[in-house]
Amino acid sequence: MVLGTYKEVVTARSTDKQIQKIAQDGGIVSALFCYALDEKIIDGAVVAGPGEDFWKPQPMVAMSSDEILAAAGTKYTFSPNVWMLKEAVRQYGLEKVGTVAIPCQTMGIRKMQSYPFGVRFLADKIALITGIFCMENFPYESLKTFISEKAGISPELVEKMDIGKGKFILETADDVIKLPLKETHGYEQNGCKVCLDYVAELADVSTGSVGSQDGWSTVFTRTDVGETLFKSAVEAGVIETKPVDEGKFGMEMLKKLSKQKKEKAMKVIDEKKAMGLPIPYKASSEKEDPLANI
Amino acid sequence: MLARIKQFLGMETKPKEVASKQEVEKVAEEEKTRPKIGYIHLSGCTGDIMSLTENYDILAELLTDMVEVVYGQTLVDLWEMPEMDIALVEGSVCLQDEHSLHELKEVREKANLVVAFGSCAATGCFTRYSRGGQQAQPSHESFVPIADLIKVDLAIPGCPPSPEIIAKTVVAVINGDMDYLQPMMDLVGYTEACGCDLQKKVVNQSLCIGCGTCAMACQTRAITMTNGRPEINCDRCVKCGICYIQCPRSWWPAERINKDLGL
Amino acid sequence: MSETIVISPTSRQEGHAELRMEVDDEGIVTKGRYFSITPVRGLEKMVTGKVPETAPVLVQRICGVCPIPHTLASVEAIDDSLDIEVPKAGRQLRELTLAAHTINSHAIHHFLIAPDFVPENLFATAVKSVSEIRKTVQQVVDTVAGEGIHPSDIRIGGMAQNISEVARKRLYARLKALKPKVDAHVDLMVGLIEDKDLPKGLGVHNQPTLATHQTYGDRDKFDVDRFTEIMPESWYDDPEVGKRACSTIPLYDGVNVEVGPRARASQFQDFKERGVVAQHVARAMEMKINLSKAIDILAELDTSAPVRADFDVRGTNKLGIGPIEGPRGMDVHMATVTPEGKIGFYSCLVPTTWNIPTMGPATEGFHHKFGPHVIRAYDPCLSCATHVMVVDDEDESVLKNEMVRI
Ligand SMILES: Cc1cc2nc3c(=O)[nH]c(=O)nc-3n(C[C@H](O)[C@H](O)[C@H](O)COP(=O)(O)OP(=O)(O)OC[C@H]3O[C@@H](n4cnc5c(N)ncnc54)[C@H](O)[C@@H]3O)c2cc1C
Ligand code: SF4
Ligand code: SF4
Ligand code: SF4
Ligand code: SF4
Repeated sequence: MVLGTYKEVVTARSTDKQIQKIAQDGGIVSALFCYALDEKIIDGAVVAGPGEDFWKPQPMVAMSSDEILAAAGTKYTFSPNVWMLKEAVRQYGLEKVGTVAIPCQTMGIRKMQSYPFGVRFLADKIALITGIFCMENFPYESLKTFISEKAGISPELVEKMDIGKGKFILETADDVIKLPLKETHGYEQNGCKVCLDYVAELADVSTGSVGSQDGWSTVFTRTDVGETLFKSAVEAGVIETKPVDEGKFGMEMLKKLSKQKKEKAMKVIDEKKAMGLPIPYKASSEKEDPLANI
Repeated sequence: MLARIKQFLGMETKPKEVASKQEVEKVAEEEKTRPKIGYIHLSGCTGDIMSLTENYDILAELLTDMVEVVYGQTLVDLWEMPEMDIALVEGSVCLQDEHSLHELKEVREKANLVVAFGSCAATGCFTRYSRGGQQAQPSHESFVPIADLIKVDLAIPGCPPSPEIIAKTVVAVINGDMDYLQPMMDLVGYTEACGCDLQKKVVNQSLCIGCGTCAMACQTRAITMTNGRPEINCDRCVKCGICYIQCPRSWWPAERINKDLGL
Repeated sequence: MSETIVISPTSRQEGHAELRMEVDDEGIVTKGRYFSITPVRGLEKMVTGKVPETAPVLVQRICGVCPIPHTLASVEAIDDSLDIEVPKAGRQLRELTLAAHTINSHAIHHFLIAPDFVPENLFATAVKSVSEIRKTVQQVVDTVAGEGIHPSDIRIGGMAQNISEVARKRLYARLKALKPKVDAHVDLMVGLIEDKDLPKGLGVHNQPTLATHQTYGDRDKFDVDRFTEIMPESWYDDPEVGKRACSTIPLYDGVNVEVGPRARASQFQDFKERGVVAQHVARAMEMKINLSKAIDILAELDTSAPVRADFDVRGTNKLGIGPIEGPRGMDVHMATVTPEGKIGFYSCLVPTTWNIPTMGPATEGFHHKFGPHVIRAYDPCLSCATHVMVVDDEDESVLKNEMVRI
């Protein structure tokens, strides 16, 4: 259960050359949204679009493939996508909305769907949640520190950011700068320290780079909606798959990271509880399986 | 019928084992099919009952097949307050109005389950800003959540609560689905709501993760997100409590969500 | 023996409105008094001293049945006080919201009066069409104004944002498809109401009507100088009523008036009928008028145009007037904004308040059993299941006791 409940896990990537080029990993998020738009499974998607400052995303409603692609790639700072969902169904008039969500955003949406206290006519309009894995997220000023202070370059030169193999990686047109992850420790947001979900356990489909080779993504199908969509995208040839690597750099790595994240978070949760601080999650002692989802 | 409605609401179809809280249990057991329900209107705006009627596709079934409406303005012709299984109380209570105080006490005596229906009843909502001094009754000054005066069993905050949550709650009461109702029981104690709670109880507790759910949920659009944290515009906040209630870091119904998703 | 008939939910429980009728030996009403006894939450005083932005948010919570008119009247009053010119598309979106809301509200009224007019065999049809109409028009309100019950996006200076082209096309198509259904519904209701043999002349009174616009509201047609407001103590000749009444009495040219669908029809459609049936007919016809208007706006709307003006929140204490023709009649909010950018004065004249002093006398001259019909024809916002009591004036004993819906 360390990876949540899922139907299937595979390694996959988009077959579209353009998506492959601009996407973070296998382009699964972008490919799925473009496909779902074409097939009218969704009529728009909330994604992390470009903002005013470099690498500071702004949630946006994308209603065409071009707009989806303009938002491809990971930005390692906050993009409050859930905020835009209301606007997507109100002013934008969408009735089948997709969204990309890091695990904690998925939690906000799922809680709203089960308990829509003050949220009218929205829960049933969320047609697709594509979850992405997440170890931690950074305040924008932290990102700036990595780029300007630690890597010593200016933000507009950065073409891609990535985390992998123990490094925070900054790519420019002619250089790749790798910061050891211990250099980024202490810069992540505090709320992440109690986060128990690495692999977007509550999404319809979840995806991330860990567990698959460069240029490919690991994909879990979790709900019926997610399974149906993913299968038909594969059938349509939009996404190609191969069996997931069960070994050291595949599933083992994924399980290891997820377990580490959960164990670390449980420790912080228990400490906070002991101090009498508020925390919405159960203490380890109250749980049957501390590694089971949340 | 129930199964069809539950399917419509995206709720599980199997009735749940009852766990605790005898009152709800009693309603569920005695009136398995149609609990007697009443609507009591104190100092509210009628928006909550309007919201209930926006369950368009299931309204007729909800009001006729699932519950027996025994009391309430516009709904039933009855003068004496009858015994009720569930009383939905809308609006806060004016401490300077004898009628309201009397009525509230009577509800508590006559109803098995008293529900604070909407934020005015649950948290006081915008009536917390009341300060009297207005014609034609300048002395009407204090409006407080009903739990300040009587024991309340369930709270359904929202200004107004969504049509969906109202229907889901009614279905859960009929089923004795205690697991689903637990948050409504817990929220009875949340009478001092404000947008500031996000800052005090989430951000200040280093729990905020910038997801934006609060800003999405706020019904007055009092919240924007600044650098990944909620920014409360106090000039628009009506103290309904919804932002904090919807925040994934205030309370977390894990089991329920897994069940709803079939995970 | 003279009797007083009290229609009231209040003496025992619900605090809302009370209709007291004095009747003669035949049961004919000789004197009718209708008044509200809802606790006063004091919205006008609540918003005074706060920034203008707060006012529409709070005052829309006066009423969850007609929150749209309150919001619009509030922003219109403040726009006026600050001399703001709302951009065309912003004005169109405001008008669209009100048109959709009016259809919704009138449909709800049909649901409430259905037991009076709709025979058993047509009941399900009528209720179903009410639901279908409401669902579609409320989608317009949700989309354009942000929230269907308490709209978040009607703002001082215009609207929070424009709608998308997708939304415009969708709403346009939905409303077009709704048109035949609304037509059929209106024809059904009008037919049934006219067929019901209510006594001729029921509800006819001689008070003037007051309306500023057929569908929205026009501040040039509301002359503050002709308006006065008095306390219930000096209006009702029964001191007990005067003391308990919770709303003030607004007068125009010194007299009480009728506002609402019939008032609008007589002012703008050359509609001559008066009384209960006329009020129902005028209301039903407004559903068609507003639907056509909503469709026209959606056809014309430029979804890329600005919808909100820039403005400076510091005012000049100018008295701003915001008259909005709500489903139940003219709703006028008045506000001033101080040089410090705060609300200096705020006042709301809500539709039912205008009608309250007219409703009671409108029951006069007919048997008291028709009293509730008269009240219902005004669709009072404080509508409630109401108790009718016939009281013996001498010993105050209850002679007759029954419930009616209002
Ligand atoms: C903060 C963060 C931490 C991550 N940590 C890990 C990790 O530890 N291990 C791992 O395997 N994967 C991690 N990922 C996911 C990974 O970086 C890729 O986003 C994921 O594999 C999807 O790649 P793709 O090629 O399928 O997506 P693409 O087709 O490139 O699309 C990516 C989508 O993500 C959206 N997005 C970008 N930034 C954000 C953001 N900040 N918030 C919300 N949505 C955003 C974009 O709008 C776009 O729609 C993380 C992502 C984020 C945002
Ligand atoms: S680690 Fe958890 S809380 Fe932090 S950003 Fe990722 S999903 Fe959200
Ligand atoms: S909570 Fe909101 S909708 Fe309910 S009565 Fe109060 S103001 Fe009206
Ligand atoms: S909902 Fe909670 S966690 Fe999410 S941004 Fe708002 S306060 Fe932060
Ligand atoms: S910020 Fe919004 S949601 Fe939160 S209490 Fe205020 S009005 Fe309600």
